[in-house]
Amino acid sequence: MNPIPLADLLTRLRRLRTDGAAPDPQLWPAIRELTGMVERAKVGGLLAGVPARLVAGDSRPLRPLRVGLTGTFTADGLLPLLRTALLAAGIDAEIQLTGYGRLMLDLGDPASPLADFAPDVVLCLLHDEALLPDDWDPTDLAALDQHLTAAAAEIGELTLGFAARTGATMLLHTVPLSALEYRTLVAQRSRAALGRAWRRANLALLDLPDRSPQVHVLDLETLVANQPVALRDERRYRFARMAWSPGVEDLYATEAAAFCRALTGLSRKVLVLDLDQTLWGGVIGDDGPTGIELGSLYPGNAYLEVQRRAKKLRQQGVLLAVCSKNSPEPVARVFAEHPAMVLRAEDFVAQAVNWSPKDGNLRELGHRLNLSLDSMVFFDDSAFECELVRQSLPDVRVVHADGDPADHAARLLGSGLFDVVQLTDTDLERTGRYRAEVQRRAGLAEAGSTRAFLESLQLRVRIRRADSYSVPRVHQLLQRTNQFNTTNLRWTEAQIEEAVASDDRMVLVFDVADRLGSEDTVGVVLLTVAPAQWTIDNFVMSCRVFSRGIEFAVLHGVVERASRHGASRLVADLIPTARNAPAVTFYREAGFTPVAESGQTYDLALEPLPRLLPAWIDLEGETADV
Amino acid sequence: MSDLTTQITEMIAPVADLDPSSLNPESRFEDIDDWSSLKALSLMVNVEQDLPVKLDLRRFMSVRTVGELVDLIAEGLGHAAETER
Repeated sequence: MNPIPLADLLTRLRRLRTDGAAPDPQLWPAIRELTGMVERAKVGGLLAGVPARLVAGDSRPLRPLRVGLTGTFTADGLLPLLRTALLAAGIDAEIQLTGYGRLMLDLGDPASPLADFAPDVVLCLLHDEALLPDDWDPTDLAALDQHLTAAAAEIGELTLGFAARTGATMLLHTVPLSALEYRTLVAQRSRAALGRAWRRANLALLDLPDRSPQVHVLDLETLVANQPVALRDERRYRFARMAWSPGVEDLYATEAAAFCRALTGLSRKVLVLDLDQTLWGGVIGDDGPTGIELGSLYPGNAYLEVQRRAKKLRQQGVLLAVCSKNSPEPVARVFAEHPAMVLRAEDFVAQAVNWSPKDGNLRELGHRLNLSLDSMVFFDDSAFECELVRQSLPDVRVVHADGDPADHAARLLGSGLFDVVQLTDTDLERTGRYRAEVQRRAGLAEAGSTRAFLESLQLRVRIRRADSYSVPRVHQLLQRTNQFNTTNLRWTEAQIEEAVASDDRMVLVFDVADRLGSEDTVGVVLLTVAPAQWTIDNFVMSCRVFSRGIEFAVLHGVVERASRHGASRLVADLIPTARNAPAVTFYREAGFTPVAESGQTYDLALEPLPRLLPAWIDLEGETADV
Repeated sequence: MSDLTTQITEMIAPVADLDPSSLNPESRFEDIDDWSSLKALSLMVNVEQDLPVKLDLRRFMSVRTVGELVDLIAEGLGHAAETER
């Protein structure tokens, strides 16, 4: 249900192209909810001349991203769809598409227009004829196999080379084979041989991520197989060398935008689930805990599938929560006793089971978990609740579980909102840690005073230098942390790797433990190290460990290290953003003084050595590693 | 203008970056600023997504005016050509 009809949306977008136009931030939620490909294409056509800031408004900072597009075919049809998809994903993209069929030149030539553009991400678009020989012998498939392997290897080497030279992140994809090629062969055995050779070429592409952390491969072949669209429209291909049908262009645009969203740290972290008609069929209040539909038969198995898929999300670091209008007692009984339930109470970090409006409950869940609304996805069968949350909390993404329950699991996963670039060890243990955090907060209420509570936790902080193994987690922290983030400096993995190895830089990470559990690598400090002066380039800490003085303990550790190395000053920048209020007063509270008028640079003298360590924290590893 | 003509001009407008009211059946594609074969292809995609029709690219590319395009699409839709102009 889009609140703005398409014609109005287009008129309002056109208005934003005039000089001095005022922002129209209602457009962004409307663009996110566009359901039709033609709508997305029309909107994308107009977006080319509209500053993204005017569409999203100033209160919603979008992530800037330079996106280079290079292909073996004409990709102009993809462009408007990609513009819409990237903006909908929260990205202010500057997109450059090089000319038709320039992929090899773009990637291979260090002075190519693509290299000059200095992209953050390069989307490499491939089609089957670019891998196939110009004219191949249908009776010599061994020769075809060799050619395909060599062609895939060449694209792979060029991609790796471009990534290494420029530091860009590369997105390749597996290449679907046109049925025209398949049916060119009449013998079934030959078709199998072609299929083998084709898959080997795709496999060579799929192996590339193992060779570079900057190279990623989207499995387009699998995605296309699940779409009711033709791979290509022969008219567009013959006339203009457009190798993908509009449906495939739309599919790719959506997937590539989900990848960019993951890359820029905008992945959603929490899935908030309704219960009745969402996790099971029927209404618990009417049907009773034993009367709900859940089991091996349709439709109970469709609801079960939603539970299974939600559990798999949880295993990969997505936090699950419940938001249901129900009485708590029968719900607790189902979670504890129903034999078919896949999800149990301990799979959830929090539950809001009551009769209050759901928008308020989502806000409250956010407070309880210390997670912002723009990390949440809400999944509910009720059109009313979905619309309420869309209207009242536009930062929450809503997935409506309407229609046949058999489609619900695919709808939930099809959103791509939880996509990340890769998993870290932290992802695997996230639910347990958040549950402990909820316990801690309950403990705080019982302890009476904050200080008494903190004393009772027996907090320990360990600071250590990041090594190559820490790089993915450091990258994730820099990308995903918005609140305690002093400068919003976000490095690529390659830049982090370089800093870790450098003598002029230091990357420190820290772990936190208390009597309820431990959390490794909850924050990172990026430092530039000169003899007399150390500079904090960024200080990032996960919101899970807020309000315990951890940041002061870590700063204490940094101060001690700097002093031990003979530095007399510690300098830090603080760049306020729309989101990092929790970090804004940090340096001032720690005794730093502002330098000059800008108010963004702070300075701390290290003689006499300031003592910043809170009394309730033990600092470990002070002398061990540095 | 007929319903179909209105519908088609509303499809042309965003591709041509024009207001629908500036188009009529006599409007010539070659007079539209920056009109190109790639834009014509996007228009074809939009037409075929919104209407149950598949166009012959040779005939589609030889169309000169909005009215001729409406006729071609009407023929594809199986109606008699619309003559209300």
